Amino acid sequence: MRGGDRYEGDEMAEPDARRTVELAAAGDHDAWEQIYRSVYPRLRAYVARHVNADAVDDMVSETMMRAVAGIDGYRWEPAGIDPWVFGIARRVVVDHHRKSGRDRRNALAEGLPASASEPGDALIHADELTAMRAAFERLPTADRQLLELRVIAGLSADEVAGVLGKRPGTIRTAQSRALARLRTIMDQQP
Amino acid sequence: MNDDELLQQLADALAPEPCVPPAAGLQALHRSIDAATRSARPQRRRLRRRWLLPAVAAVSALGVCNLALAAAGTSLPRVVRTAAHELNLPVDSPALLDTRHHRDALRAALDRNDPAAIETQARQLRAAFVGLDNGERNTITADVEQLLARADNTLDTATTATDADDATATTRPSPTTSATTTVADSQRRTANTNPNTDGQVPGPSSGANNIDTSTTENNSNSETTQNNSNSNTGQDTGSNQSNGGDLNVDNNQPDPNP
Repeated sequence: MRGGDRYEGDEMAEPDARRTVELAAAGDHDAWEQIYRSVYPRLRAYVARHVNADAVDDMVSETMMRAVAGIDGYRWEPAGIDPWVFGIARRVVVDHHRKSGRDRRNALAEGLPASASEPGDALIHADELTAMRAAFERLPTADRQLLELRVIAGLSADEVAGVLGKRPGTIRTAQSRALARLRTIMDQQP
Repeated sequence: MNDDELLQQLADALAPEPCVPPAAGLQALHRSIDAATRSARPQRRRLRRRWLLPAVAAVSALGVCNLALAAAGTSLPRVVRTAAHELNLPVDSPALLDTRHHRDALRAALDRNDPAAIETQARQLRAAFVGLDNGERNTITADVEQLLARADNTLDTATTATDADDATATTRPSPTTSATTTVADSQRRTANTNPNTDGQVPGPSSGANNIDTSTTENNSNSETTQNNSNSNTGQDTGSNQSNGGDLNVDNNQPDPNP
């Protein structure tokens, strides 16, 4: 765990991150590439949970293109640019499902099926982690969306609140309930 | 296991695989940066145009509002009228409206042959007239000149009649003469302090007599009137009537801009 209640992520130190974002806003290619490389693993993992594997790269690219096009509307926050980028990613996924409609993994609307081809699956061997993943997939959609932003995107509760358009207190309460349900599911597993 | 520990375990379970962006993704990123940079200038142009629509809408709304108020027999509020005139919209200035108002009032006073009202309205008309800009002044000059000439002739005639009556009175000091002297002094003071010396107040003969000059003439005429009032009334009257510049004379005219 890093950065207080943050989970995972590859964030830059705030002064550097702010300078990088300012350069990116000015159209600096290197700054954008730095942001892209920083956020890419988490962004890809997040998107991969919601769309077919063959659409993941397109969705990630679409997210970054929208970020480039909309950087003028971004105002710096201490949390950095990551919450903003994941907010874009979330809308990209929603738009993707709206367009396709028939996607088997319409995760935001219908729940996520377990997937043996997820990135990182091959690296997970421990039974506990496998059980955790299985339990996670059985959570309600809203719980999964919240926890994905917390542990995959690496956002804090306040940042998740910003992405989902809810109050931080609401997110903390919802998170507590989601974790309680996760425990219950894990306890019921053989 | 508390919430934080559970979250950490979940983060380990769902940890993203370390990976780097594919070359195609990076190329797409750079292309989108170039595209955004290229479109920055037209975007600024669009931003500049953004004010145009609200401005056109505001002008249109003002026009419609003006028409509606005109149809209803009312007029724009003074503040709105002033703002619209400052923006060079086709709206008469409040100063022009005031001038028209005093012109109409003076015309009514002349029709009634009411010397006191004529004197007051002529004074107010002159004060309003000098406040107009050149464009507005041109639209109303002829009318104002004519009315002021009528007003001054009427007042001169009334003064002459009064002087003639006084000339037949006893040798005690004439109240008219005293009043005239007082007015003359007042005018002299006014002439020395009156800032409206732009020469735009019309007279019947010149049309653009300088206030300073005409007032000085008035002073001398008034003093002449004072000196001659007891001795040669007819000559005095003729002098006043023959002096075209006397249309600017207002024997009781205070400084329009104190």
